[in-house]
Amino acid sequence: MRILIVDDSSMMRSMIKRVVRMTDVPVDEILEAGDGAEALKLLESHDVQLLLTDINMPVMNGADLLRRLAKNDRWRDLTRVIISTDGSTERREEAADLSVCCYLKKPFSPEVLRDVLTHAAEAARA
Amino acid sequence: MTSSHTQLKPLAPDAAVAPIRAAVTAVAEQSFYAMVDGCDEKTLEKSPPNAWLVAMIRFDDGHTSGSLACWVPPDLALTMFDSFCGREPGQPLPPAHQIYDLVGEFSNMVCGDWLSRSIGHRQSFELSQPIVVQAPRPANNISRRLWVKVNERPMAVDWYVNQSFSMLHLEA
Repeated sequence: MRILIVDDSSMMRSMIKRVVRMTDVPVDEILEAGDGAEALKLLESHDVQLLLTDINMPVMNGADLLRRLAKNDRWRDLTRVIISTDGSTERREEAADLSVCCYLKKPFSPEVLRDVLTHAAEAARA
Repeated sequence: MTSSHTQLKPLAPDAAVAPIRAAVTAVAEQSFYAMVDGCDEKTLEKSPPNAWLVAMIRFDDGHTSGSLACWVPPDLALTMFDSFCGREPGQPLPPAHQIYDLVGEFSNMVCGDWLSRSIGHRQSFELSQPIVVQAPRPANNISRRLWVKVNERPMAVDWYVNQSFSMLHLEA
């Protein structure tokens, strides 16, 4: 499985990568992007099965990224997870409309992230 | 003369204090495995006088805007880095920009959690990218400055709100 982590904090990306490696999720490669635009370029050039994205990011935020992905059938089977400080009802309802599998609000413990990743990876393999 | 164990409190008690304290506690405990308590003058006096990291976040929820800033002493910043990133004893020290990033992300999470508690869970908000700079130890007698102790080290949180803050749902 190829995973793409999108967050403008390199430390948050590192932490998520570390937790991914602690799970039993079979991972071929972990890609990283600092914003939605960078993520889109990686998605266009790599076959990614699982996307983990923050919302508040510069250049292109996570919500705009997800809207772009929703408009293209190419990414119909991409499993999407939001990891964000914004856990508002407004944002969650929008996420549901954009085929988001899981919504994890920051702050979170590594154990909770591990469980979300395991669940999302199962959805990606299904 | 005040006792060195006198608890530090903001000069202007504000409805934001409780949710900010709750946000710092939630972030520190869940993501950094850290203990949070009230801060006393003795703890502050023992802290490094220089090289604190200040991470400022601006926010806007469409009705209200403002900012939040976390002041973190250098020793606490490194401890938080180790907890968050899993750095083991004996491993090389991280480069400065990674610690800046880490403190910025901490402030980002505190600001987001505070806003979620204060404006209610219905409404979304925008957060700026954190701006992190180095500064001398902050003064302890500033209004809208909350002092806490994180893993026995002081931390200060400043906040500013541009308009009247509509507290739709306040959680402590």
